[in-house]
Amino acid sequence: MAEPTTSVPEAEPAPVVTPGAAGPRQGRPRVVAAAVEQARRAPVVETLNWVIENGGSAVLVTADGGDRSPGLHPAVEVLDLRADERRLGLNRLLGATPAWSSWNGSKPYRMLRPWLLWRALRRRLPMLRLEDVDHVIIVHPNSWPIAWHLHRQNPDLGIAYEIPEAVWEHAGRPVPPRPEAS
Amino acid sequence: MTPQPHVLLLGMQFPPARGSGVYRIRSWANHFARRGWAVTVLAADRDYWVQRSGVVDDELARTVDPRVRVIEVKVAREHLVNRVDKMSWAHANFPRLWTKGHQLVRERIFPEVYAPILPHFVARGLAVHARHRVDLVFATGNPYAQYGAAYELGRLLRRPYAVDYHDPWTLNPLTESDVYGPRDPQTLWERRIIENAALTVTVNEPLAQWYRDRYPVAARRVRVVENGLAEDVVGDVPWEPVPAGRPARIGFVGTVRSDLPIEEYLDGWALARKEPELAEATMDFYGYLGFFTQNEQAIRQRLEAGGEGVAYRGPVPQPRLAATYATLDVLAMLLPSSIYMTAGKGYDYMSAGRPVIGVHDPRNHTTEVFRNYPLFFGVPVVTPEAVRDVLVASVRASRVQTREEYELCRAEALRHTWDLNMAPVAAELEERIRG
Repeated sequence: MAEPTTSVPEAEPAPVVTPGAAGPRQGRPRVVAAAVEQARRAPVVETLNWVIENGGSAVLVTADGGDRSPGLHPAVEVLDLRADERRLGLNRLLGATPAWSSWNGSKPYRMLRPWLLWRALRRRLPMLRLEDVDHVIIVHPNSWPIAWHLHRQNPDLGIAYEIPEAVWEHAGRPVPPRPEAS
Repeated sequence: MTPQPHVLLLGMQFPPARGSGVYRIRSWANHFARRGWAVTVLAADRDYWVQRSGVVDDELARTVDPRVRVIEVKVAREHLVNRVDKMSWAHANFPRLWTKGHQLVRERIFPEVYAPILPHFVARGLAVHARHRVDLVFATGNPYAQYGAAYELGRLLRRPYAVDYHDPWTLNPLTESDVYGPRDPQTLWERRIIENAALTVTVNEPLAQWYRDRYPVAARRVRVVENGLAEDVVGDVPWEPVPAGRPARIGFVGTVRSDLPIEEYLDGWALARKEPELAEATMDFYGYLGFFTQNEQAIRQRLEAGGEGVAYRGPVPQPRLAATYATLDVLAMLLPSSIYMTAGKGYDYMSAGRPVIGVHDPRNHTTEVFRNYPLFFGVPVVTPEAVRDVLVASVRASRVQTREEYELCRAEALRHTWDLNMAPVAAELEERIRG
């Protein structure tokens, strides 16, 4: 299996957490942002940076197929699904042909794409350290398949467009002030 | 007609649902039952309300006449789910496809978000009729898909149907303007429903006139049934003279909705509390916060920051309503300012026999309802200064109120019971069925 397009910076070791354990725990909140399209990317970057700056860990799941998002804190892990997307099913046949760009931009494909991206992410789940994830940020309905499946695998994690205070409280940390809107 | 007429009442918002419209539906069911009709209600399943509102009102459900038969219909609710973790597999995994599919279904069935209930209500209605012949289909909305179900059942069963608009559909009562264009499917459906209905019922004369003007073919079949006093729910409200020197107690009892003039009222409250009449006075808000759980937080925060003496006391169980009114000297009735709005709670306020202040545009139909109420203090305009003035005047009135005035207020309230208001239309429907 080919290596995914990821950049995982060195970070503090994650605390040991019992998968699915209920009740408060001490440690670093871990947040995953399912931002598979560019919509609302700037506020997502801001939020993930805020998590890192306040002692948490964060993963940005994208399908950009390019560079890290501008302004993203170096400690934010990035999992780019673009290469895996091209290797899924019919995409495997079209991925290296000129037909790819028209298929990729077609309406039917755009309707299926969020689910396909979950299928791509499914192969990379160990990189998310799902048992440690407290919260999934969604940015658009296109984030829903990933968030829904991650919740099925770890029912203790929350899903929202923002990070609720309970994420910090659950990790035994004071709730940090919100970043000022830029 | 069978010896005992049988009405099929389409009332998704039937108790134990909560909300202002629930009282009207409950009262129709009880009124028909008291008149000797067999009453079958198609209502949303209990879990639906638990999920939507977070709470149900079992006390109110116990006030439903035991002769009323309630059939719970499982309401499709996936389209209302906005928590990703609660969504179905198809909804969460293919959101665009799922939404498009739902829109298609709506366009094919009925142009409203509740369209999926229509086939269920029609199917259940047909099943009810197969076992016990239905003489009248009576739908009260919203949801407006129930009107569509009434139309379809009327057509399939060849029975008359009536529609009760306790909430207008194609008219925005707050802005007093049309919601849809003349060629929109909502407008076309409403025309079809009203023009074929045996009667179209609404809650006040301005609304009735709007329907007559909009649908002249049905103009002679439009009726008004005002909201009314639920005397069995509120009961007798004790009254004693306000002790001299005790700070005034003002209260709001009802659903605290975000479209009420809360800002103007609380600003007026702050001004009034500087007046000697309201020194140390308290303003208690009782009731649910909005109709849906997602609206609660913002309203709660606004009330909690409301100023000195202001407190949110939470919902009042039905058996505690009279006792709650009894603790208050003056009742504050906050309403959106529209000629088409009527306060359902206004009748309960009347029955408390205390000064009532009306914080709404005087054009609001509630002004007419309170025309003969001896202790009504309506603002001429919804401003903080006007609110201050009526608060001061009403507190003064409460301090000199006599038992005779209390009795006069109660007597006026009892002229507005649900049964009295509903009787003429129910009698007309009976005549119509007897044909």
